[in-house]
Amino acid sequence: MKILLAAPVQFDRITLFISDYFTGLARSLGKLGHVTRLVRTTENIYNPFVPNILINDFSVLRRYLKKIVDAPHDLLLMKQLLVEVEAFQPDLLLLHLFDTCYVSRIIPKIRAKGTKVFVWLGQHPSQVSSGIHDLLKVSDRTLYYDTSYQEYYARVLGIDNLCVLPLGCDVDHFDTIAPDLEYQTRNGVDVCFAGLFDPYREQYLMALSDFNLGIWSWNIGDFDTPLKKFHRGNAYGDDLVRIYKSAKIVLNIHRSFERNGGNYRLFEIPASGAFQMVDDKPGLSEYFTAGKELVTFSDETDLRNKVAYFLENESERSSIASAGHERVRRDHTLVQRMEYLLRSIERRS
Amino acid sequence: MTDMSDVRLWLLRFRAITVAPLLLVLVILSWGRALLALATGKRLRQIPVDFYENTSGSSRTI
Repeated sequence: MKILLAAPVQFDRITLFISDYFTGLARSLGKLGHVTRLVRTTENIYNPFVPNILINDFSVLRRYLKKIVDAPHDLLLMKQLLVEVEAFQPDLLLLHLFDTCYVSRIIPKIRAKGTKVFVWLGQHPSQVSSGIHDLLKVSDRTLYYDTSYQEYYARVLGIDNLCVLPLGCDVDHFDTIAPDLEYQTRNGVDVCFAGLFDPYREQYLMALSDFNLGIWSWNIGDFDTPLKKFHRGNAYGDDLVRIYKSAKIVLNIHRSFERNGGNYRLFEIPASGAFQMVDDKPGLSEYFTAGKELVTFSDETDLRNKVAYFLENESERSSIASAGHERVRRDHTLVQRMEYLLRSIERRS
Repeated sequence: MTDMSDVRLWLLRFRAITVAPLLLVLVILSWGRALLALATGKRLRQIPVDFYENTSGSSRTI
C-alpha cells in the first residue's frame, strides 16, 4: 500500500509531540512493508514571519480576520497537497493539521483520485476550529483516541465517520535512549511531571509541593502559581524520555476533557521504563492493569499517600515499571496501531 | 497627579498604534510568500522516515 502522511512535523517551534508521533507512525508503516512518504505541512498559527513578541497579537488578529489571515497559507497548502498526491498517488492520505480554514475544499478532489483521506485529531474536537471540523466532515475517516469524544463528534458536529485509534509508542526507539549518570544527577527527581500546565493539573501538583517535585512545562510562566519553584524548563522528544528515565515516579494527569483516558503520556511513560502514576479514568483498563502495570490515584489525598508509599518501596515500584514496559512493548506499539488501522480499511472495503 | 488607569489606557493605545502596522506587514509578507511559493511550484518538504533528532529547545506542546 502507498501511504502519504502529511502533518506539521517540525522540530523547532511546533509541537514536538506531534512530530515524534507522526515520524513514529511513518516509520511503523515502513516496518510493515508499506511504501511511505512523510511531508511537512506548514501551519499559520506558527507563521514563520511572526516574531515571538507579536505571537499574541497575531493570534488576536487571526481570531477576528481568520479567513483573510489564513488564506495565503491555506491556498499554498491546498496546492502543495494536491501536487504531492498527484506525484505519489497514495492509496491513503493520513492527514493531521492544527488549524485551517479552507483545506477541506480540496479533500473531495483527492478522494476522487481514489485516495482515501483519514484525518487524525489528537485533541478534543471542541478545542479546534470550524475549519478542522469541515475537514473532518469531508474525509473518509476521523481518527481520534479518547472514546468519550464520540458524543461531541456525533451530537454537536454531526460527524459519523469515526474510528478510535488509541495512541501508542515507539518502544524500540525509547529503548535506545539512556541518560548518563551526570544527566540523572542533574535532572533526577522523586516525582516528575512534564506537560502543559493548567489549573486542573495544578490542584494535583499542589498536593505534592512538599515532595522533591520537578515540573517541565512550556507554559507554567503564564500562571501565578507557587509551583514555579519546581519548574525545570521544557522537555521534548529524546530529552523527555531521559527525564522520565531519571525520575522515581512520573505523574500523568489527563486534561479535564479527556474523560475516558489514554493520552500520549499513558504510553510514553511505561515505554521509557518509568513508574507511572496516573489519574484514574474509566478507559485505562483497556490498556493497562492498574496496580500491576501502573498505579492510579483518585484524588489529591490518594495521590499524596501513594507517592509517599511508592517512594519508600523501590522494589514494588521497579516491578510495576517493568510490567508496564512489557505491556507497551506487547500491546501498544505504533506498529500495532498501524496494523489495526489498515486492517480496519480492509474490513470495510 | 496622573491616574494609573489613564496611564494604562495610554499604554494600550500606544501598543495598538505600534502593533497594528506590524501585523499588516506580516499579513502582506504571508501573502507574498505564498504567492511566490505558488509561482515557483514549491513542494512540501519531505521528512526522512528514519528522521529523529534530539529535540530539546524552546518548543510547544498541546
